[in-house]
Amino acid sequence: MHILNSLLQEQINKYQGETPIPEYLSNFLSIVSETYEHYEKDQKLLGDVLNSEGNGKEEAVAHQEHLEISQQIAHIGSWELDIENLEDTSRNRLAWSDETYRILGFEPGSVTPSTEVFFSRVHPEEVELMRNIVKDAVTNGQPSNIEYRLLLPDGMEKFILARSETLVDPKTKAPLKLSGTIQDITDRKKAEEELRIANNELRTLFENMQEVFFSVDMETFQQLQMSPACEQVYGYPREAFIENPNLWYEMILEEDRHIISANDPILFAGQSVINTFRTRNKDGKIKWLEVKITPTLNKEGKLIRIDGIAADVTKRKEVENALRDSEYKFRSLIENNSDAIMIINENAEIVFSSNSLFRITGYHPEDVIGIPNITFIHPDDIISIQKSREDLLSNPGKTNTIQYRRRRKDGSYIWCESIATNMMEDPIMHGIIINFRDITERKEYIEALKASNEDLKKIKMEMDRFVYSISHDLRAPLTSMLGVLQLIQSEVTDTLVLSDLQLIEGSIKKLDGFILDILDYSRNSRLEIKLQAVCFNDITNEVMNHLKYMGKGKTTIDIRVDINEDLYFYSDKGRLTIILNNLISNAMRYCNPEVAHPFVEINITSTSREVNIRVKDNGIGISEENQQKIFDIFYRVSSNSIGSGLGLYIVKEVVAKLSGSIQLQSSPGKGSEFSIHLPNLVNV
Amino acid sequence: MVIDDNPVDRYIAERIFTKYEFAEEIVCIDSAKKALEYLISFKDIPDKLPHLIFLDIMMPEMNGFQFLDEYKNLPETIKQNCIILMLTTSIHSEDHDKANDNPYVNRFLNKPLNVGVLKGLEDLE
Repeated sequence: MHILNSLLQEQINKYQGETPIPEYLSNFLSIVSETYEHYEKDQKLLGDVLNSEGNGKEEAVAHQEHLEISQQIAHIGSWELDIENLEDTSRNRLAWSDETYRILGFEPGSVTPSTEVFFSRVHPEEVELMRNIVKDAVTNGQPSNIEYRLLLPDGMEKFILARSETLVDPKTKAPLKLSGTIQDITDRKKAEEELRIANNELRTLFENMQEVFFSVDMETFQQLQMSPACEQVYGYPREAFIENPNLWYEMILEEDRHIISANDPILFAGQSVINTFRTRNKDGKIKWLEVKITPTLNKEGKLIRIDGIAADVTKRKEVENALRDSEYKFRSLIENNSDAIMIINENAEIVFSSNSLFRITGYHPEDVIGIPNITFIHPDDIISIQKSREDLLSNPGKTNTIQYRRRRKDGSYIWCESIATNMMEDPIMHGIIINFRDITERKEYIEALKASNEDLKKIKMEMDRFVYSISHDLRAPLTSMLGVLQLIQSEVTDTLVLSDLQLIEGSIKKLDGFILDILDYSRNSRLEIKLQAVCFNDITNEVMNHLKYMGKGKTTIDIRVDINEDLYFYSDKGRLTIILNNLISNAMRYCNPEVAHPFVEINITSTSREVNIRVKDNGIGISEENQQKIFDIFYRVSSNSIGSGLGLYIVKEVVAKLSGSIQLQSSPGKGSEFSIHLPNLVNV
Repeated sequence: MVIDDNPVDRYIAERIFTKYEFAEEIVCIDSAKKALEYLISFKDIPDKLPHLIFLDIMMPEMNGFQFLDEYKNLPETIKQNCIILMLTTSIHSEDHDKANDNPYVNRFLNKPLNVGVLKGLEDLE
């Protein structure tokens, strides 16, 4: 038992090296050692009892008591069968010691011992066998030494070691008495069984583990043992290593062999080593092995044996290398990025900075690590930085973009744009990741742009005021002149004077019209489109109202208006007015005096998508040659033309501004038709 | 009452009103400020207050719209007696809209003042 236990312990130590013993094994070991202790205690008690004997004057009863106690302690019972008078049934020929009763599950003396009583307690599977053995012993006087099982009424199974001897008549050689012992060895049996299971488990472990276990005698350099996994790890069967004890070394790549040589002083000092190196397998494959070697020194401190485990760690190495490569890649990316990357912890201190910080701020990472980030922020920006930080901290995973001024090592400030992400809950980062770049130039550029935009706005406003004043200052005297002129006209009767005044009035109106045209042009080119729902009926009425005195003195022009409009047409009312005003006034102005019934036809059809404006007349018409030129600025068809030469040019510009198109069909003497298509601007 | 900084326009207004007997009394004032002072001075004598006020827009010192802003704060006695007509050369739709949005402006007239314009005002008499 003791030997088994220590053997097992040794085995386990050997396999496990420095790693802890698996739970099931340690449970088992505690059972073994408990059983063993129990056994030892019993032995000691027995010894004590036996030693107390030998005074020579004990009585038979005392002797009997001693014996009973001894039996009880050793779990050994004795019995005796009188074979000589076997047929005499008047006497009980079988006698049991008290412990025999107990082992068989009876109170001592509670039953009359008999073979049948005995057999009733033998395990049913073994009754047949036992009967034969007893018969054999009685008949032939054969001594026996057997093991068998009992099955007690309460279901308890006991293992029994039984020995018997036959006492024979020295003369007749006939058997007289059969006496024997039964020993309850259940505990021992159980322990043996458990040990066997544990050994099997260890064996299975040894045979099946991916790692190679090996032991080398360091005096003979012979492989003492090697587990079957060596075939997987090395590609050679274990026989190859026994045949060539140096094979494992020869397989190591030459450049890695120095690792093994370095082991010697450590092993000689009795310390374990762990090595990682590459081997070239039987099939030429390079494998990474991790080997752990534990030396055993003898009493003189001489290395006598090594035990080790070799594991194939190629996959782990590959992963490690891939990880190292990718780490290197990311690091290079970070270091070569024009952005700087920082990690700040929960106390807002910088715990990491990429080297690119130096390029941007002049600080090396080691200058700033451990320092609160806020130290480098412009005082005016600290509040916004803190706000952003609080916002981030209350929203894990959130990203904020913020612009602020950061101090350089030389004391100057640069504008930075930083993107910060809360990765406090990330177990590796555990901080706020700040990615920032120098945007000083961009900022300056934007500031310059803003300033020049402001200038432009100012200029535009001044221009608006200028145009407004001009229109007033130029037109006010004209209207005054017109007012005075009309006063005179109302008081003079001389036809010659009246016709002269008519000329002056025409000129004034022409000049006023010219100013209005220039204003329209300037407004069209300067002002943004003012989008609104438009009503073509209203616009046309307004225009007609404005033009109603135009035809004065001439033949009445028949104005026909036909408008079909969609309620929701969106465009710029002011510009539509300019278009209609110009087209209609042109049509009226250039009516054909030869024609009996001059007319102007205005046809407007709008849908939700576009509007078609057609202004048709039977006026003097435009020659093909002039059709190309009438849209040019300051182009007038003849010196008789009344207009400024701006009207159609402005129409063309306005139509273009409203993303529309204009067509003209005309033949001299017959009339003209302008057709304009404009999109509904809300759909564009 | 005619409020206009342009003396020619004031002259035309006076001549036209007289000629067509448009008004019993004509007061021409060359600045909006003076016009305000004039109105305030007669605030308790409604008979002296003008029935119609012809107001120009483009004037130095105080323009027509600034006059309207001040006019708003005048005593009710004045405002109840007067009808304001904008009389201007402005063809800007912004001016037109602004004037029409003002509760004290009756209508928007374009210069020059002539018999046609006066005819259009007959409903006010």
